Amino acid sequence: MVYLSNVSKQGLYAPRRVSFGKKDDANKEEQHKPAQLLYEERETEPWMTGLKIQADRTLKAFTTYSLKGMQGSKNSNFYETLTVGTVPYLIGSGMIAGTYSLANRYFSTPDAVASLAKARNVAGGVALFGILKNLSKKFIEVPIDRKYGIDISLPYKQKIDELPEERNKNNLTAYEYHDVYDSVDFPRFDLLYDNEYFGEERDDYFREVGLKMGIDEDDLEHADQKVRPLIKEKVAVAKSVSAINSGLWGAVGVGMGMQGVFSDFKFNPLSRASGFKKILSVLYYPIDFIKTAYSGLKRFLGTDRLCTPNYIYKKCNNLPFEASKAPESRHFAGRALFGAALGTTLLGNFLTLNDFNKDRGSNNAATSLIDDNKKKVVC
Amino acid sequence: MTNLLNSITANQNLKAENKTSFTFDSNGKVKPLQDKAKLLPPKVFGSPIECVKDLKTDVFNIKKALKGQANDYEIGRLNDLGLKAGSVGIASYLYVKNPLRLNKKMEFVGLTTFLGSMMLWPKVMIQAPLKARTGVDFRQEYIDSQGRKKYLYQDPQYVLTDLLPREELDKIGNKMDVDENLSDRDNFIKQRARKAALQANTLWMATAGFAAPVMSALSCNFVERILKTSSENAEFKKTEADAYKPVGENVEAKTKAFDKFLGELIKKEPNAVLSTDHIKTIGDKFGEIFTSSNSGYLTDFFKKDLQILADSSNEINEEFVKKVFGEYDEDGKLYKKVHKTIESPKYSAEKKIEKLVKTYSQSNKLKEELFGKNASEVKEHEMEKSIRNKILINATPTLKSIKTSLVNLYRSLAEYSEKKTNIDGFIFARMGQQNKPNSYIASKWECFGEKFVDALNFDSTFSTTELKKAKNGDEKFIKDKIKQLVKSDKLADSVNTFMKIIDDFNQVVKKCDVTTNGPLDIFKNAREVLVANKFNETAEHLISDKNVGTVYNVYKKGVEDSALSAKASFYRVIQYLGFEKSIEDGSLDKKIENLSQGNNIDKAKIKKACEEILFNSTTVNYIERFKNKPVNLTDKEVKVAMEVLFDTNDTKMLEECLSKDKEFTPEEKQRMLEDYKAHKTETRKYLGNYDNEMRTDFKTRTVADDLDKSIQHSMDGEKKNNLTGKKLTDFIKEAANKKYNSKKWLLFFSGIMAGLTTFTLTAGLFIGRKGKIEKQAEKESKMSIAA
Repeated sequence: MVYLSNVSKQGLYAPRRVSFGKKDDANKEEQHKPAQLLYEERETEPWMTGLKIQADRTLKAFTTYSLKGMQGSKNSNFYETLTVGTVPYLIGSGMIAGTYSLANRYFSTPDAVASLAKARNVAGGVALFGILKNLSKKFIEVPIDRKYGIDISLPYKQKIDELPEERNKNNLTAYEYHDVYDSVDFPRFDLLYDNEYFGEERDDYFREVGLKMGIDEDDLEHADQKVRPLIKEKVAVAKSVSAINSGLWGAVGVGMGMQGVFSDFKFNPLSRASGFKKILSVLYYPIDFIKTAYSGLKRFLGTDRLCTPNYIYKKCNNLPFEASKAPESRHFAGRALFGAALGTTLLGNFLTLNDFNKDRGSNNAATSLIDDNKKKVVC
Repeated sequence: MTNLLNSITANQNLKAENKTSFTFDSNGKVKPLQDKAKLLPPKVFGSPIECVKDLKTDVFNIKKALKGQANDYEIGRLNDLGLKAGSVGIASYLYVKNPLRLNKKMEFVGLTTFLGSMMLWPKVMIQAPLKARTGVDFRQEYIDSQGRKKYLYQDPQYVLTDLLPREELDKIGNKMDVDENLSDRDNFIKQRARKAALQANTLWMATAGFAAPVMSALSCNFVERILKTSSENAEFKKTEADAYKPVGENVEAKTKAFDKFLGELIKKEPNAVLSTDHIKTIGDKFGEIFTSSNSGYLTDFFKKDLQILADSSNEINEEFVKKVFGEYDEDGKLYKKVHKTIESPKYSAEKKIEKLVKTYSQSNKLKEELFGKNASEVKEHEMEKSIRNKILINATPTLKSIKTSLVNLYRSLAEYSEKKTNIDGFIFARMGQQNKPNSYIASKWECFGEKFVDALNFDSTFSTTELKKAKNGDEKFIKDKIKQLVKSDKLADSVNTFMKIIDDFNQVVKKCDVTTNGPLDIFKNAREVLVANKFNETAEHLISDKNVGTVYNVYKKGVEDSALSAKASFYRVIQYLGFEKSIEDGSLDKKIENLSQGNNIDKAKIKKACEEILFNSTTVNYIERFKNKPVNLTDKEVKVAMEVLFDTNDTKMLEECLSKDKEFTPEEKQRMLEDYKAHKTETRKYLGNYDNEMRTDFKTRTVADDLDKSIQHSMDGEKKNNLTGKKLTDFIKEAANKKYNSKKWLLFFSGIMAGLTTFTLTAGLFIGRKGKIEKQAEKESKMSIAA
């Protein structure tokens, strides 16, 4: 605290901050909040917010957090340890493909080409592993958000007042990005109270969710007490299912990447064309990647008849299909893996979108330490 | 408030069963629960029983999790379980996807080595050195009061250093050089331990991404070499066991399906004649079994045979009429009316049918049979039409009439197909390239190439540059090396190694001889059945003495060709070594002198020409090569050169080398020598016949009149090509390239690994050092004590 007072003294002489747009007061208020819910950003730009947070975390994992960890900083915390945990994932992914391609320069051309093809397969597998693993969480989360208004990956920005590393140094402010439901045991419900985004009442968020869950409005006098355990339950199911699910979808991603189509895919966007076309090829890159991944999926499953518009059109009009090859054992294995992933997703959706826990009321009474039926003295 | 709550809880729980779990202080208030957390003993590998137990708990946790009762720890564990399930899933998928046994195995080896590398890297490179130096075990595990396994230092803000026993703490303090006189020494030690663990953790994260894949790749490379031979042998053994296994069940199942299919066709139209549509559908059914046994070529001929069957009609003779109309003919009166027409050969079938229709339409019994009660009202032309139909149905084959023979035929051909598929598996695993990329022949080829490069590296002085020369097919370098090898005493060893490979190879080739063993019987049996059922076209194209391009001949040729081309390439190396040896010991000069019979012949020119041909030739046309540039030999010289090249008795070098060997039995030596001589004779017959110049060779060769000449010629041409074998440089290029690549790859990644190890170990030395801040703090603490 000694250090804090120093800073505030300096503030007296500090030049007045010039700001454009937002009012100074509003700015101050925002900055004083230790945790700021990113609900508005999430509503307007659901994808970009997530990407920005990911980019921030990844960058810091490689720079700030690693450096602090190496120094053994007293400010290093579990959040930073977890974030630094993505570093080996990212380096390792590149390195796995690298074991096939890095020594290529010593090989003669045909060997280098063959080795590069394999490396591309691996790179495709690794990339799709990451993409599908993260995307699969949305398969579970989005339906819950749509039905109950519970956004499981709702982020908030946490302000951290760090301790000074050395004496006579100003204290530092750092920011961390957490999700409200990061922890199932201790969700940050406190951030959802008194939040103007959800309404004027203190517990409007819970009331809204409760109504969406089909609870009678009359029973929602103390909505938070009623709804919080239900939300916890939903989040726990969703998190458990997507924990298993994401591994299986990741495996499907690797399977897709291992198909022949990826051995021709140029991963470096700049090597894809020359001159003016370079710009186009860079712009076209994501589309090309998705296309390749799609044909990878078709080969993985051994079918040309995925539920595409073309397929549905032909099916509805009874048009003939091109004869496809008979599926081989590997296609059946692929289908089994895909079926397992899809099955767990659907099971997760089924469990989260329906309420099966009928005896919750009695359970609560049994486990509660305080018997509701007895008189209580509160001092 | 707290006290009140405490007492409420206590009162309620006193009533509960587990009242003993609470302790009370002097005021009767509940004391905090005794903490049950404890450190786990350090271990290098997790015990398998513990792994299985953990897995069991995780799987049981799923049920709880699906009810929404999982906590953070359990969800974390489920995440690991999901990743494990995904990893096993993808490894299983790749296991199925890869056609080769070795690659199948390697998928799981890859998974295991990767997980192993991830686990071992921090243990060996960071944990062990750090513990030895500072006493801090940064991967120390503990079990908390709820039975959850955690790492002691995982959260740097919440380290349960209280769990560390006194001695441990002191040990860390002493090793980390914390002043013993400090009043709050424990606190200092704990801070230092926390810092060291955090640094170690970060170092681990920074290096693991590089280390795990490279370590895994290097160990896979190592394991693959060990597994290679054994899995290839297992593959061969399996196909050998499968080759002659009984096929009865499959055949019966297939036949049953075909029987059912025919039954349905007949059910639709009971009296249907074998029509074009039927020929197509039935032909395609047979086509399926032909295709599955690599003889789909027969399908068209089978359809042709079916067409012939459909076109054929029973001859209308006495026997036919009696069979069809016998029972309606009282006392043979009606037959007497037609017998002249029927028995006379001069009338056409149409005339005969006309006569029969006219005559038998008078039979009342037949009328009743055909039209039942309405017989009296039937008009004459209707009656005639029905009789004509009856005759036609009986004269041409209907589906019903040929069903039994078709089903029997199907059974025999299905048996042929099943048996052939099994034998194909056996033979392709050895000789073929089709769906067995790592066939025996390919592996022997690879092995021979490898040994050849090893032979060139006889004094083990091959540098990477030299290997690169060999890889690029540097002729001068290779020739020099061979000359050196011939001069050295390692020649016998090398040649014997080669001969061992060739001999093994020959033994396998003998097993795959399709002309003597089971395969021929399979073809012959199928042919017998086909001929018995008058499916002659198909039979002729399956196996025949008259037809060259039969399924059997193509099959036989495929097997023989691949064996021959490999063998010729192997022997070409032996021949070249012998040739070089004869130059070296001067015996070639004498030989040329003898052959020249007093003519003045340039020895060097001939030697050079022969060497060039043996070393470099890819064409069968030796004489062309000898006569033209750059060799330009005269006719006489060509004769001598051919004698030098194709001398069947020249086995001096091989005999010498074999005599030096101690492992081979005399019989084996004899066998090897004879095989080499036989091969040379064969080569001479096809390639070294000066009288039949190559260009006109096929014109003068007598081919049996009934053989298809063009096919025979091309077969001869291919045989010559196969007998030529592979260019020596190509042989070496392939093998050296492989060696070079793996050497380079290994060097490159070993380099990376060595660099990474050095970096990690060096960086590890800086972990947990006493920094400026710590020194300052200790100093101040001391000063305060003094004050």
